[in-house]
Amino acid sequence: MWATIRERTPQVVFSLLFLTFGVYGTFDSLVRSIALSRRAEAFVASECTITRHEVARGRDSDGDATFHPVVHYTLVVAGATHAGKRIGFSSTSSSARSYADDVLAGYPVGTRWPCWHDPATPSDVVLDRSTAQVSAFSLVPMAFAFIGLAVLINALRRPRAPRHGLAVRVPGRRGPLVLSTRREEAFDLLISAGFALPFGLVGGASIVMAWTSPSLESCGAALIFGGAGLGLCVWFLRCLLRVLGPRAWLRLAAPTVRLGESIALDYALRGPRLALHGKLALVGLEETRYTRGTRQVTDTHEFYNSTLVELDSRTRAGTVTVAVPRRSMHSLYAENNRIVWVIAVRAHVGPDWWPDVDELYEIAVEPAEEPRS
Amino acid sequence: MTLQIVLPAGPGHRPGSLLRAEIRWHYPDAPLGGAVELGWATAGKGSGDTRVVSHAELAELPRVDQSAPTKLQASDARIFELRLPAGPYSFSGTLISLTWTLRARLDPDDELVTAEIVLSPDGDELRL
Repeated sequence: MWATIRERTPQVVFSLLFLTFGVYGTFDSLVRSIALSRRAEAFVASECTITRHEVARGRDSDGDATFHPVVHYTLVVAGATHAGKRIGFSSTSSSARSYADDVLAGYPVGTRWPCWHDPATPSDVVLDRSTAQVSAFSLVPMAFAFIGLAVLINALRRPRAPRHGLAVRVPGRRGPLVLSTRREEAFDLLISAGFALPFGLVGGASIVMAWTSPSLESCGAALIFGGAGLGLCVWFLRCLLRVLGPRAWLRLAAPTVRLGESIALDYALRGPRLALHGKLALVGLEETRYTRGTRQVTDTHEFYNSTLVELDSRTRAGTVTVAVPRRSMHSLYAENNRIVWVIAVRAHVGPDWWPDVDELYEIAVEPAEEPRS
Repeated sequence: MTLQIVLPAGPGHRPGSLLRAEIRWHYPDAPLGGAVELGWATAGKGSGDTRVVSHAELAELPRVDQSAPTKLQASDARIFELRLPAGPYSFSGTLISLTWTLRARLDPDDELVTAEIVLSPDGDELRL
């Protein structure tokens, strides 16, 4: 464990920073949000008179102009007149001037509006005491926690035995081996949650803004941020459904198998009993890695595919014989080039919107046993 | 001036079999040194991988005439013998191919000669 941490120090430090910031930020903003909700409930209802409007100008982080609606109003408490200018507990600004104009148009000057004030400090007053927006955005720091946790889990995952060259039979290890999928489901789920949460909220907010005060800019923002947020939320939901959906459990009778040998494979589909149709197959893959620009790319080509069993709603568990062809290539683990043998589980799941099962479980194939000379 | 590798059994070899190669050269002067090495390399679409499986100094190898190893001569022939490993096999796929090569080098001119070995159960390169 400590060796793993030492080996992956940058990853661990990065993840702990994200995790700490995310947990602290989420806790802090939730505490503030709850305190604000309680405070809002204690506010007393009264009536305010709108006296004037203004559009306050500001700058965003890029230096572009932003517009923030300000409503000036008065209220009378115990004969004393107090002034207020807040609409709600949170303030929203937009790069579209029309947004501020539309908000202000909802509060015509001279009209009387319900408002809420702190009984101890009547000048602490708002026209809208909803805290839903503040509560929603208080969840944004959670994104850091999700990403930090995902990277930490990935860093602390027990490293697979370093494999270079060939698959070898380890003396003393003869028992069955439960295979693990090549997909990192927990990592995918946490990372997708980490991105979907803030982008989903920002996207949702931009769509609401475009809906309430349509303009070219707000619609453009809704298209970009809303689209990105929606896409990321769909990604997260698919990851979640994949985790919650049917999954294969596979057990090979021995840790390795030689070319030309046959071996028993126990299989079972676990999880919800959704209608499905698919197959279990023995697949041989060439995998090669190279650098394109600054990116590392891995290309894959399937050189062998043999169906082991058809899967459907009735055939969900059993034992099949995996016959590895004799005249083929054994597993090869080199730095950039690999020959990988996998048990592929591919199944279409009943509801069309449910992600299909598409998992690869690696098995180690040794060179064929040479006849004794 | 010649430097050559002779494979009496041909290039095809089975895993675990004995590889025997003769490294012969004729030069005006005796080389200062030299080495022979066996290794495999991948080629194809991706970045290559190489591995040297065995390395030997020519001066430490026995002569073809079975006399004891001595200083390298201007005209000489040495025997390189090695029990081949179980793999990896020589193969040619869509993305990757793997070849075994026996390489002999003589100093000081870095004269180099290579001979391809095919390692597979039947002595032929596997085609995926």
